[in-house]
Amino acid sequence: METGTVILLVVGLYLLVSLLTGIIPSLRISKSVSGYVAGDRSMNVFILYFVFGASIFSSVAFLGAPGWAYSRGAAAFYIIAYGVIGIVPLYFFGPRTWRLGKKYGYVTQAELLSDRFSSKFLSVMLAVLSVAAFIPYLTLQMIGAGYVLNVISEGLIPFWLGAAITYFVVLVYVYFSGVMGVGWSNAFQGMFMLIMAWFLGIYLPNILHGGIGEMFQSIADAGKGNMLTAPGLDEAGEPWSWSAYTSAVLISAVGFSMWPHLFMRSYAASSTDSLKLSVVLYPTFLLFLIPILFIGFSAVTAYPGVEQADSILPHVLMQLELPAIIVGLFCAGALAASMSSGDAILHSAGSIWVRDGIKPFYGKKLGDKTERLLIQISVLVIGLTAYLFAVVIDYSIVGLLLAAYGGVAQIFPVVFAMFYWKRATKAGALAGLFGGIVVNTFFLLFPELKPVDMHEGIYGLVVNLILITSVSLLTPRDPEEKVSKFTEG
Amino acid sequence: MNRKSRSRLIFGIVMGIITIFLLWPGYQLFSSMEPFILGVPLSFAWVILCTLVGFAALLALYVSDRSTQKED
Repeated sequence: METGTVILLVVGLYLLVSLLTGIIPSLRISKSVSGYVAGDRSMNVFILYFVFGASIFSSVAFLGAPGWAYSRGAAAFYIIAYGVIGIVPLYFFGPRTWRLGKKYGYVTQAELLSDRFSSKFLSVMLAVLSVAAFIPYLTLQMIGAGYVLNVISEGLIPFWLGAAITYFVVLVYVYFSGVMGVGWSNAFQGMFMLIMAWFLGIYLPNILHGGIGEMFQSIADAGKGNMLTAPGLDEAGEPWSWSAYTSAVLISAVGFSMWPHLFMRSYAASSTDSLKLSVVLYPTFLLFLIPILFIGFSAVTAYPGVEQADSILPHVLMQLELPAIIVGLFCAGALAASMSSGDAILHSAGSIWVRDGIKPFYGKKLGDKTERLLIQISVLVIGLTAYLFAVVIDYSIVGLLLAAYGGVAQIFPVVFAMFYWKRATKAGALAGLFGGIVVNTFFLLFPELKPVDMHEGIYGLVVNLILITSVSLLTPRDPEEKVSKFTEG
Repeated sequence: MNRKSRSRLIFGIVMGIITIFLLWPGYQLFSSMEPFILGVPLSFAWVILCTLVGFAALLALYVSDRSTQKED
């Protein structure tokens, strides 16, 4: 059989299995909104573990991370560094969120916050912020899928078509089956990716350099030692500043547990114990990023001068003349990475947009059936919007992700205050979140105005914290019964 | 201090130390390429080590939380 045919067969088969694992579990879940959004609160440790893991193993892992290791060296270590700090808040917030969700029927992050601070405006602000952060995140997953199919098919499948095919499959199972489809397909895709990551991460350094030690030695011998010295290089290839590295780790760690699609999974857990255990096991997923970075480093001296750093992995695979079945499997692995994050984001974006952005204005008038239909329509619209961006945009995958993190990190102070600071008030929460978003967006748009080379999210957070504390202390306390409902427990 | 808050305090201290050593200024002490540890540059090996310590800390916290839950 011809190489191209074998690769396409493997990829086709993989997409079919994804579709089935995505649709079958939904048959057991109720047709209600709570079933669609929170899976009737029935996710066990096994599924939750992979759902959390998929947030790491996105296109960022298979394409962005090797791309950064290849072009910026030690800068890529930040991706591992923030995860272990960033998961910790979820251990404490998660069980509280779960208990409140079970008792009062919340299924989104904003429902919790807007109830505590009695503000519809807060809910809408969070809905807009979430969707605004989700679209670039989703866009980069689609770019990843497009790259892979394009490079592997040697240009036969154009970028736009590759992204379209993959995300058509995702749309189908997210549309029909909601969160349980996402969970089961994440588990299937996750296991698949772990195997591919370790296989390639050990195989490539060995075949290209004769071992991992030899690979790093060859980078040092080539006079590229500054690449292996933290914090690595910046986009221009000059040594990166410590302030930029530190603030990138910090903002990602703060933002990580606040990603609405991750935060919402707390509600889907079957118990607080299964939630805690999945959080505890999360760092094992981070260790799978080690072979991923090896892949990027293996290409530094072997294939210098590749312009499109994010496509370094498919590029290397095509140069090596590997058996078609391996290339096909890799291709499927990279698609799995893209899809397993893409589906979760798409699902959350639709749910959040309707429940937090639209529903507060309709109150009880919106029936369960209509609501579910509206969510499904939003899923389609948001998917299409991200796809349009994917086709026109030209930006590094990790760069896009870092930009989205700045906005999401602004949610942290409000969530923290909800659970631990009784004195926080509605006005304080609104002022903090709004001020943080404005400052973050301002420096995102005008990076040359930053006083120090730090991530724009840090400036946002500083303003956010000042506002939430000072405005809360200047305004009268919120009613006691409202506050204690959230701080106890 | 009861057992639950003591284990949380220890956990907080360990995570605090890890955070400092993964960022400036702590990470700067381990930012060089040499020595190579099992073939991996020190700057990389250090991040891996911190991740493992963080994992161990989370695991210990979970185990201690479970045993105090049973006592309740």
